[in-house]
Amino acid sequence: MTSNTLKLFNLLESDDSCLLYMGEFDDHFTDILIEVNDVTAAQDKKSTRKKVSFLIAECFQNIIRHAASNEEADGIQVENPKMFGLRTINGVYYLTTSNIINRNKVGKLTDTLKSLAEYSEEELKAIYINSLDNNLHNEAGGAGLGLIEMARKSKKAPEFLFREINDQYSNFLMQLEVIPRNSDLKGGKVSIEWSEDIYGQLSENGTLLVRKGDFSHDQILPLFKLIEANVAQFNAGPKFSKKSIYLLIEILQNISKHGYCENDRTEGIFVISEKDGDFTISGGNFILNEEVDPLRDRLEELGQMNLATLKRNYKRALFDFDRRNKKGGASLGLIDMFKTGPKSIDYTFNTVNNNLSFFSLSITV
Amino acid sequence: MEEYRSEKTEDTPEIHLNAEKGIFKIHGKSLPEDAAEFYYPVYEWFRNYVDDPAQETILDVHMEYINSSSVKRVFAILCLLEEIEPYHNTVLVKWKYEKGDDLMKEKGEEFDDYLEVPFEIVELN
Repeated sequence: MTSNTLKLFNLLESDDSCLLYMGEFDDHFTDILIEVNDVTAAQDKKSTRKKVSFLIAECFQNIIRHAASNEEADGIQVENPKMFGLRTINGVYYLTTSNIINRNKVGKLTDTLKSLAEYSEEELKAIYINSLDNNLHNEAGGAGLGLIEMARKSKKAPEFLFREINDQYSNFLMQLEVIPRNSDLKGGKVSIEWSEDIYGQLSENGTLLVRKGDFSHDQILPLFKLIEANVAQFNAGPKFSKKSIYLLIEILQNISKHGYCENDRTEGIFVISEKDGDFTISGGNFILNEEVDPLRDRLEELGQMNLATLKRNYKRALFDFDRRNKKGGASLGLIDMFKTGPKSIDYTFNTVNNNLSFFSLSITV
Repeated sequence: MEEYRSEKTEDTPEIHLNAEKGIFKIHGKSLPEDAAEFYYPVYEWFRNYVDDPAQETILDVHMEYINSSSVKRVFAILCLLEEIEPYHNTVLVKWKYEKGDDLMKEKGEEFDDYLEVPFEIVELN
């Protein structure tokens, strides 16, 4: 059986790194996103990182400027959550946003975005300067400064589409592509239709966060900060407790510590979703085939234990003070996953090749 | 005995141990990649300390977030306090948790159950 985690991993297979966030945005969201990107893209040129940081902030501002307020969109926002996506494929960045918009804005915004696509780089610059000279209020071709700047920085007008939700509101998807300067990298790997398809799948599954890429320790810290800063948003409905965060940390660090590492990269995926008040935290990573049986046996064994037996095993693992065990606490962590009493723990192993399997673990709390 | 200090970072807690001033404090997030390595000097400090402890040892532990490998290392440190002779010295672990932090409350209760060291679980508002 192929797990949903593996399906999503395969869907994003070509992504060097991917962060998809669905839901409400916290005030600090932009700063933390930029931090996540700075760590993820540490190997990229500073100028590219700065440009992407700028565009992250502009995308966020764009949502603030154009999105229907939560009060306006009450009742339709659960099925149509806001999304921010940052993907890197073969060195090219793709930034995608989705938000609900009042349909009376669609016509003007369409004209603006279409007109941006027709301007040359020089023309965009002239329009930008003209807008500045006119105290930021002049709208050349209907384009606000933010959109002009997005087009200027990414050297390409944003791609976009609108999907009608009801007679009053539409969903507005917008996508930017950033090809690092002085590179011969080719873009065009992510169509707006594909992004819409991913958005549809994620919102249908109640997905709140997807992170795919390298899970080295320095990569997961900013991700944890992002989650921590947004726990309040997750809490809008059911409670995302400290126990859930503990399990979440374990899953993240399990990928980091036990995932198959090649060329200093531990490839994996991490997903948080919510359905009917239950949160599911999932992780997926490669492991060596020889590790499959011992891990599966251990998980099966723990799954069959009652709480008293789990507590006995937990105590025994606590008193095992062997400092030589560098991956220390691994056994304790697994026991604790079962002991904290989640609603379900599901795991699958899918053989990838002669050497590797893909291990998926999902905990519903 | 020499003071031990480790400043709070994004993934490690503030640790301040000063036998002369009676400061024994572990406070913050504990999510280090290698908890064994991070807590090794702390463990060693307490291993020396319990041979000649102060009259009063009140260890103040307040964790915001913790990973399982840190749970294990902190437990090992608390275990060392069992070696302090209770008749002539005061020893107490003050295990603090934020109201609603069901996980840290449970960890405190487990540690209290497993250890012979006097334990006080304190809920903070």
